[in-house]
Amino acid sequence: MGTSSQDRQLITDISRDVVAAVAPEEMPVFRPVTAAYFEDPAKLAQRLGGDDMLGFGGGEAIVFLTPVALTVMTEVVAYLRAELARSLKHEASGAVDDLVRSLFHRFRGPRAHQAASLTEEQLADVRRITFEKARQLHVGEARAGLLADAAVGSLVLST
Amino acid sequence: MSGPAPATRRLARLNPFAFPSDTDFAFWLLIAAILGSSILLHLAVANAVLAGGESQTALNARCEKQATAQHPGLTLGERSAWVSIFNACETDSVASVLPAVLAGTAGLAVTSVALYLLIPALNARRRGLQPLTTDDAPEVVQELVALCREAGVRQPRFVWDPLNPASSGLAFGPPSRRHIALTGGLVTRYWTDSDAFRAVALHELAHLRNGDVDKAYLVVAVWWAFLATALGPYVLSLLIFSRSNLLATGLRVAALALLVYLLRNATLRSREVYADVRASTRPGIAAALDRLLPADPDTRLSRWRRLLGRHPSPALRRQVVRDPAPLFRVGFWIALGTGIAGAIAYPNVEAVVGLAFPGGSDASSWIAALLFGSLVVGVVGLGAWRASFAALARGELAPRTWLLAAGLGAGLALGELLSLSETVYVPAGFRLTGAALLMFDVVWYGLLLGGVTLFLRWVVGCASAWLEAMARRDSPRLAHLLGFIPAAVVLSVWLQYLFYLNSFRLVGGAIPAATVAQALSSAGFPVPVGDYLDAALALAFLLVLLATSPLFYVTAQLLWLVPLAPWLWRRGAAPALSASWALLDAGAERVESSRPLAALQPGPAALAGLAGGAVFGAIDLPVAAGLAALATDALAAWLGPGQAVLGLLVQAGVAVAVASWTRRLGAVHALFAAFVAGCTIAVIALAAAVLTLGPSALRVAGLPAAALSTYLNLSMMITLPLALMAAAFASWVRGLASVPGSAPVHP
Repeated sequence: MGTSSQDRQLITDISRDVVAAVAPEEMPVFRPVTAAYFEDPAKLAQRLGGDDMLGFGGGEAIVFLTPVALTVMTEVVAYLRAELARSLKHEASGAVDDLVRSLFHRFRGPRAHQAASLTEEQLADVRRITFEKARQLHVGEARAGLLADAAVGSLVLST
Repeated sequence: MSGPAPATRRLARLNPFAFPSDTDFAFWLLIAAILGSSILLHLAVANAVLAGGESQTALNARCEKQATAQHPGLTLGERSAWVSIFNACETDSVASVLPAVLAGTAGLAVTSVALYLLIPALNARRRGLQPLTTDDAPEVVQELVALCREAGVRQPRFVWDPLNPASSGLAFGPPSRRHIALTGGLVTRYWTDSDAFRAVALHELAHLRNGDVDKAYLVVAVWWAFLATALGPYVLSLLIFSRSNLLATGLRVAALALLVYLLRNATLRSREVYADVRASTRPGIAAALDRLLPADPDTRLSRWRRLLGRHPSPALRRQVVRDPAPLFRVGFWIALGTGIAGAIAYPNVEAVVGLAFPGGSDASSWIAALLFGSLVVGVVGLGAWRASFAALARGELAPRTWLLAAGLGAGLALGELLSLSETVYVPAGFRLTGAALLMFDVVWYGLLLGGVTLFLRWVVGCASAWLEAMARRDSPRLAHLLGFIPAAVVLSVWLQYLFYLNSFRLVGGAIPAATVAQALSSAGFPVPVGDYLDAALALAFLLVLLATSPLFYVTAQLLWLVPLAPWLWRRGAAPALSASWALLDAGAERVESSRPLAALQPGPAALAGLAGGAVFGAIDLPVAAGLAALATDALAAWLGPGQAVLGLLVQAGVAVAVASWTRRLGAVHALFAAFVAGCTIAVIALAAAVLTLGPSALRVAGLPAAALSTYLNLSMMITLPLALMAAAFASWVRGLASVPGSAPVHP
């Protein structure tokens, strides 16, 4: 996957917040699932949870939210980068990265007033992207809504 | 008018872990089937290879030609000599295959052990299992440690597959390195549905507690080893050497492989329900298992698909957790499987032992019979023992032994078809055919069905007596052992005689009935020639064997000794349901069976035997003394057949009287009474000889032995059927006289 290590860290951090809010029971599996996701996202998506012939037999598979959150937040970061790049055409890419980070509550430092923020329309876009992607990945409607809300809640609205 | 609705009373769950499990049964059947099949296939491969591609048909033709050249006549002597030459020729040809067969069997064993050790490691690697530590999920690890204590198992190593979203677990690893693997989905359940998490964890720990991890991995390993070391080479040799016979042999081999596959899956399925039941003894787990298991699939799912499945149906798992009664049943199918597995193993084990010890053909058939007898008793016998406990506890009818016997008989017939004996070992013309075969089979299968039905009735009777005697012990294992060993001996002796007769079916045609009839007629026993003759000869041969066999005499005494021996422990006896091991759930309500069993009464039976002896003495001694005083030849006639007839009549009378009067195990008490009478009569008969002829009478060759043989062996053959008929008749009469609607009476 063509994600930079900086983006990986960003996506991991913000996804952890989303998972902690929506599916805290997945925190023990967050680290290994994240590592597997970045190694081969497609392979992880195909893993439906088979049972061994000598295993318990019949224990239903659940839909892990962690890979969903990672996929969704990857798209969100891409969307935010595109939005900021459009408005800051002459800025270096490093500066855009910093601004993307600053759009999330968890990374806003003491100079928050200088950082970028999102409009309500942009936040609505983020919610739509998040919800639709989660639904594509077979997450139930209610849970997808919670995920979308958590994603939007992690971002900063302009005042 | 309607009264108050009767309160529904949930029966306490009986404890299936007090008895051998279906997993054990399926496992041992699989081992027997694999052993028998492997020897069979290795023999065939070794024969084909070492004979330089000479097929069995060609070998038979060569040996027939050799024998006919030396003994072309049709008299009994000529045909007997013909058979000897033929057998010697065949034996010479197969003697060299023994090392190859042993090497093949050793290869199977070594490959199985290697795979048993490798498969868990390969699985762990393929699934990317990693240690589950307190760094990953401290609460989960702590809970697992607590569950180990709760389940009473030594703590295994915990590993997990965090990427697997299924809610599942897996117990694996050799005894020194047991592991429990959990999926990521299950670990997350700890926070969302902790009972579901505990249910799966306890289920996997139950596999450790039930000791079925090794069995599961062994059956998988043995299956692959069988394919690699037996089936594969055989198919190859078939393609190279026996293409003409491909269809018939191929179908049989495919059926053999299917049998092994089905037994493997039966073992795997069975252990899952036992693990569920073990886990369900903890609060909240039964409901959690119900939640975890998928919805019951389409009920149209065919029986065959379920047979092929490696997991039991969710419906069965739910049912068994609610009430483990199905785990106490033993039915037609398991008996059928036992018959097939035994029929495949028996002739092949016999053949290999015969090759290893060529001088002792009897030893090979005895060893094979003992193995087969142990297999039948270990599976069907202990199954009947288990079912008998459930029937006793719930006041239900005893298991239907005729159905088990029918399954066993059908299995034997099928197993013989699968054993390839038709195509491999028997030359044309040897096998009985047509009406002669039909009559022989009616007699042989009649003896098998009748004998096994009675044997299983006897096992059920032994179980009822022994389980009560062992009710105050911590475990019924001693009762199982005391039931298993003598039962295996009794059945093995019976089966050995039956299988001995079975050779008539395979080679009876080698000496035609007309030749035998002619020989008998010339010896002064004129018999009409007919299709019945082979069956009649076999039956007569069996009777002579039994009447003159000291082994039969010793074994027959076990028939009364084993079920009556618990009388010695009568002070410690109690209803089986009151035993500490009887129920699964601690503190469950104990519902007593509706009618207590009648007590064993060996004392009155012994007195009846002594009284019979006294009657014999009261007649015998005056008659002998009178005839001695007259000094006529009639004394010799009296001391010979006269005494014998009187003694046998008295014993038969005692047996019928005791069987009719005893309420429980009437036939067993009757045999005991007849034995006591027989001993008394033998002593009196010998005393009469001494009194009339002097002490030198005891030195007459064979007299003491003849007395014992008559009053113990021969009498058993008369008193046994009479006692059974009398006991059955008395039971029927009592049934007519009992209150309608009352609880059924256990035998």
